[in-house]
Amino acid sequence: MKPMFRGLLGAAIVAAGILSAPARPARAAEPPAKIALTGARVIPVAGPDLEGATILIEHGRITAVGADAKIPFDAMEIDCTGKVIMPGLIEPQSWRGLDVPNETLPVAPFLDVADAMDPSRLYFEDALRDGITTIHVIQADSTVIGGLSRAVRPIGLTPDEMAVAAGLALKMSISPRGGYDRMQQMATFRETFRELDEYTETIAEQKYEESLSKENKKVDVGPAEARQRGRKLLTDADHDDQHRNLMRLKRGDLIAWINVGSAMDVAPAVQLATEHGFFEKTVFALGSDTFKAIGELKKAGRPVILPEDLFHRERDSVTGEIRETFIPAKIHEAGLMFALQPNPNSSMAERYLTYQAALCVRHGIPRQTALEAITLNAAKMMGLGDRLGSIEAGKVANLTIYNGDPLDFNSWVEQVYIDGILAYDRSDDPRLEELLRLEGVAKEADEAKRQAAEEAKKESAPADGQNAEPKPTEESKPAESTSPAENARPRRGGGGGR
Amino acid sequence: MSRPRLFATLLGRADNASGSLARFAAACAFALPLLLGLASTAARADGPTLAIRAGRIMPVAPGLDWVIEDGVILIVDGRIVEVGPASSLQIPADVPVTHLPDATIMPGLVAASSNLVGPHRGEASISADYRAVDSFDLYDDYRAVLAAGVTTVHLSPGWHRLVSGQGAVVRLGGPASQRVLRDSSDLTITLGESVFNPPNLVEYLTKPSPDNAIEPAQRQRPSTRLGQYLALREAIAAATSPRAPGADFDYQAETLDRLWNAKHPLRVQAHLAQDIVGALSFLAANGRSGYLVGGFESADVANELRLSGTPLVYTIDAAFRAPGGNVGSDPDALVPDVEDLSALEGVRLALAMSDGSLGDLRLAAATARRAGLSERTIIEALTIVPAELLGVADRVGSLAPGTVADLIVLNGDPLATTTHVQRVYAGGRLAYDIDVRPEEPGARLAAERSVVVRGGTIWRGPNDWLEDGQVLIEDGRIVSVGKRVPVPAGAQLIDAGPDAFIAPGFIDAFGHLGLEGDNGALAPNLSLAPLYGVTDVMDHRVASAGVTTVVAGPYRFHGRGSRLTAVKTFRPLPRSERSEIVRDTAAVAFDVRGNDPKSIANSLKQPLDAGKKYLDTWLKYEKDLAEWEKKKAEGKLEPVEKPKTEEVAEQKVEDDPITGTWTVRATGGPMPEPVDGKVSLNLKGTQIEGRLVEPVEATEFNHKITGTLSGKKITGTVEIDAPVDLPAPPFWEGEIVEPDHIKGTAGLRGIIQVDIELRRVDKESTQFSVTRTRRKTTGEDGRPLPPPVDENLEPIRALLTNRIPALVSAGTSREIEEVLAVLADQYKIEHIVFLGAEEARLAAEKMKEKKASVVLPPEVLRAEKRQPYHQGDDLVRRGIPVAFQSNAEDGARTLPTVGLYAVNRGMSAEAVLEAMTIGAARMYRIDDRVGSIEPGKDGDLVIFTGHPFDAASRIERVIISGEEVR
Repeated sequence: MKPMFRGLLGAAIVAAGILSAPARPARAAEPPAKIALTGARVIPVAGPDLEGATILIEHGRITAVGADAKIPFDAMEIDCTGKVIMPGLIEPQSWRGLDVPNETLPVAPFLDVADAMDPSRLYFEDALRDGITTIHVIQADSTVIGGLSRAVRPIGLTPDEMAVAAGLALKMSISPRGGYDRMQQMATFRETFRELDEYTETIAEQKYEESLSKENKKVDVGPAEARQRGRKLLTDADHDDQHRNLMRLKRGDLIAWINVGSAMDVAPAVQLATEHGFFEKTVFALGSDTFKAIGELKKAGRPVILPEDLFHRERDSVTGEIRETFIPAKIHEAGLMFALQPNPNSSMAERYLTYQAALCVRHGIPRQTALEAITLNAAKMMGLGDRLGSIEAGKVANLTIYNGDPLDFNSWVEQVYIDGILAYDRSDDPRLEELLRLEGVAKEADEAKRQAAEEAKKESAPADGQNAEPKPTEESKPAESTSPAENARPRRGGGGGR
Repeated sequence: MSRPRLFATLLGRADNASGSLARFAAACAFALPLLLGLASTAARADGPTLAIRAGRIMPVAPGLDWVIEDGVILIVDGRIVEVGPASSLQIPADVPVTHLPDATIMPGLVAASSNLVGPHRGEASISADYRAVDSFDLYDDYRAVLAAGVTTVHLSPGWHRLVSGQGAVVRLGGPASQRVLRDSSDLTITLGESVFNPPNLVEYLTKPSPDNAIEPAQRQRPSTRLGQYLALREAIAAATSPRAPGADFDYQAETLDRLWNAKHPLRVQAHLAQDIVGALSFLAANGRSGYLVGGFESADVANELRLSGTPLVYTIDAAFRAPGGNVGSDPDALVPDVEDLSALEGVRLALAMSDGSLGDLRLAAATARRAGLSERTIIEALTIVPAELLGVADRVGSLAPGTVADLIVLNGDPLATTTHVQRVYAGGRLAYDIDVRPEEPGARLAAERSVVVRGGTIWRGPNDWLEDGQVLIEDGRIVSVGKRVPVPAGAQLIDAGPDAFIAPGFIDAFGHLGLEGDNGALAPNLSLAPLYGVTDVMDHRVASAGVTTVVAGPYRFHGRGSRLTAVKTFRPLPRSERSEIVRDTAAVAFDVRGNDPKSIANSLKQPLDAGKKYLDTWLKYEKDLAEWEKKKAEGKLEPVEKPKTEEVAEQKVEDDPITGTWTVRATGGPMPEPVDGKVSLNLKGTQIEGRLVEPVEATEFNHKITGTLSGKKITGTVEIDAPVDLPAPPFWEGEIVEPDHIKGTAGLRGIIQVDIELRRVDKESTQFSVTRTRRKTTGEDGRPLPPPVDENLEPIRALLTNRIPALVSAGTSREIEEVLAVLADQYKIEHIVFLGAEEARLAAEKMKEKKASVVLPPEVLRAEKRQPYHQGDDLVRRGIPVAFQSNAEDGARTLPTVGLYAVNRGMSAEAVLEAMTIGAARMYRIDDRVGSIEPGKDGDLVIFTGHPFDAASRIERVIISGEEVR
């Protein structure tokens, strides 16, 4: 009885948790062991599109994809005919899961975003609704060297529960942080890394001494040699917090996530990464005009995150002519791997990753490249390319199910699976429902207002003539009778669930 | 340090001054490859290959002439390979040449001090590691600075800290990868008030704890003049001595140590005399060389400067764009003393702006002439000297072979106030061009293209010579003539030199340009103007000879008079409202030669009377209009009655092959598809009358179909009250091929013809009456409407109202007198020009009385009693205005030699010039546009090496409507 009671209690607590955050459709329970999604058009990203294919999920992992995949008898079969299934979208960088975008200290490599993450932020819920299954949470650009980042799922009640991969990348910014100028920014970089060398040598020498003293020996070599030997003995634990992550960065254990906000920052960024040995683990996050240094970016050949606004607009200082550049086109031409990010500042469609991808397609970038830019590329940049970003056997079952082509703006997200769990279902989204209902109410109110205004106009118009006799009953009747019918229609479908 | 000791030190070093410079240069050269990663890439200039030929080249390079007149710069792969006079330098055949004959080319200016970056926001008083190059945006657009002629700048980390960091030297044009010349050119030290009292340093601890307490903010030196040397010595001592065990690692000290030991060039910024002396002694005491920047009070310590051999970047304090602010009663306020810079003779001097601005550097430097600097010193102080000080003279600062082709194109003397940068080449690529202007019409700078012509003598009109004058032409028109005219920034400057004589373009008073041998007479309704499209080779030939306007006419004149057209000999593609046709109808020409003198009156009367009648209709209209307007103003207008048309239905007629309603179908001719209509016809005897019933649109015009039936054939016309005059009368004709069926044609006689087919649908007769309204003579509101324009008589009307002259080709005195009697006496024509008038001297009195003038015959030399005389000379003496004609097409090019011959035969050169220019213009009443150099007229100038009719004078250049054509 006791264990059973405890189980019930546990379930009740979980249920209470869910109820206390009713808006967020959270992970409800362990996933069914085997799920088969059948009949959908599958966009695996890793290969050509598959019509009427089956995706087989076992214990949260994809085990088979294809029209001929054999469905085990004990699998839960879900008919997805008419739907389109895509890998869950990946947001390549975002600070919006944090309480504030930045730390105040210019050099703070000992920080970890996990400490500042707030799982209850509406941002995560919105991300889920938009089909995003992985978010790379990283601090914003006002820093010199910032803290560690973390890849998370937009579900879970604690940062650790959300985590996909912790301590992924170290944030750096070549563009000056707030209150800094570039001279200060670069001087701070030079000083930090020079100081790191100095520190490492000091502790290496100490470490060597210590190791000898354990065997009751005295240091028998010169300080240079002692340092050399000591360095080999060093472990992470020997470093203090200020230096540990920098050391890991130099060793290649961390990804260098560098904000390169303008074209002039590219050369210093490449130089910094090359000098300190983490060039091969570098991802550049570009600003609006960074593409101007396309020659240097191409030579570096590192993957890039594109700015939120995909257009760069510039007024010629002499002729006053406005030039508009579509940034992804330049990057694609140079053959660089890139990832797109949504533009949360835009009240327009740029808020959606799929729209950003569609924009690329509209400007001549191959569809496959555009799709990779919102899924697989970001996964690869985070070093999670073997787990996330495409629909392949062996990968994590992060899937977004659309009711039509994902790049068609008339389509919306129907369901989202994360780790094989149904994490979002549009038919069970109370907040969306409320939103669409309110939209309907607002529309009704607008319509009523419009009619009132129209009637007022009609009444005042014929006042000057002889036949100023108003005929209110006949004129207003049909208008009144049509409006509810009109408003009733779009309430559910017309708003677009996204 | 006490003064005597300082001088001793300085004297000791003075012997070795050149040696120290050499060491300084060697240090630069040594430091270069070690310190500059980017410099090596910048050295590989990969630019275009071209040659630029210019009127003047100032290479500012040792071993080359100071000024090369008509020189060439050969640029290969963006680098200068050779500079020399165009006469001796061989340009390879495959190298494109840019020719800028009016331009002065010099190296791009090198600004040894700028505010382009910085100051940095670091707080440490000694902060050697701040590098100005970090703040330089390689990808920015620096055209605003290039426009000032500055192509290379020093970037400063700031004037706000004792040791503010490392400067850099960059180019502002060319590809981003080639812009940085030196990423660390110096260690910048600043002395004086600006570095006093730096902020207190606070160290932010990441983990404060009882063991790791937050320390109070640390005060920094200097706060006094003495303190700055102390702080410097302290810092250097601390940096250069080995680190004490256990001491904290100090990165700034380490950097200072590295730079100090590498003998990095020192740049010491100071303004006041005491700081300058202090700087010199600091350098001497530490055995370092370097250069000074600032030096407001340098003239006071000129001797010390000279003795130390330390170069100076003198910064000019000038407020051009707005007056400087008040300094009030502060006795210590800096008052730069530029009056006695001549005291700095012997100090290597570069010039820059004290506020680091770049836009007015050249102008500011030009003012340094007041302070006693020579032009040469100033130009060197803007180019080669700063380039050497900054250690980049091997690449910029001169046009010496091997340097990067960073050069500026000026429209005049580099230090003249009116000179502007026209173009900037960076690495041989055009990096700035003044002609690239804003596109929005509202934002246009000066007019389309301004040209300023300067010359020793400008001939404004007869006996009105302007010595050392200038002409400003904008948008093709002369805007200003005077001793000094405005020079807009984008203006092309043409300096013709002190010996030049600038005359208005010549006018051929009668020629046939463009006729190409067509010797037909031209009816008075036709003008030659449509002949003149874009300039062709013949036009250009004439234009090159200085003949800029031709009064062109046909070879033979029409009996009713022919039109003459005044046209420019250079006609670019139309860009503005201005037309290159000076006058569509400049004169109406008659020919009375060889006629029986008695018949002259008759032959002239015919067109003139017609013209007079035509004129009267216009005069009546003008009178009516004036009356109507008067009435309208008084409010006495009567309402207008509208003409009415009536239609009366009539009785039926039987046995009539025509009367009734017919369907009509028109096909063929220009019509893409058949058109259907209906006509109603009546037969009265053999006369047919009728009108169109359908289509309805066609019936809106008052019309009447008439015709004659003879047997089965019908011929007829259509009267239409059309809104326009039809080019030919409408007609219709047909044949009754069977009862109720007519086949035939209709159209405009000789122009359009269509087939028509009529079938009768009923035999009802429709009687109608048509009120043929005449052309409307009044508008809707009763306003009188102008009479129709008759192009044949328009020239005569202009003639009779004395707007244009009559050009009459006459020879004998009898003819001349008869013409004068008819035109002047009878028709009161005021402007009569005789063409040829070989016997003019015999009718001279009468001609003078009637103010007639003469276009001299091509053969000007005449003889009386075997005594040759020049007709022009003769007539001018008799007070009759003359002009010269070519009577040819491109033969007009020889007109100037005809003028020369006239001078040879006794006419004054001034009189010939007048006859060729303003005289001819007045004759045709086109002197509002051409003929002299006055504001408002067309910018047609001919530049001679002397007076146009000196035998030795040569045409240097021809400018038509502001465009250079030769």
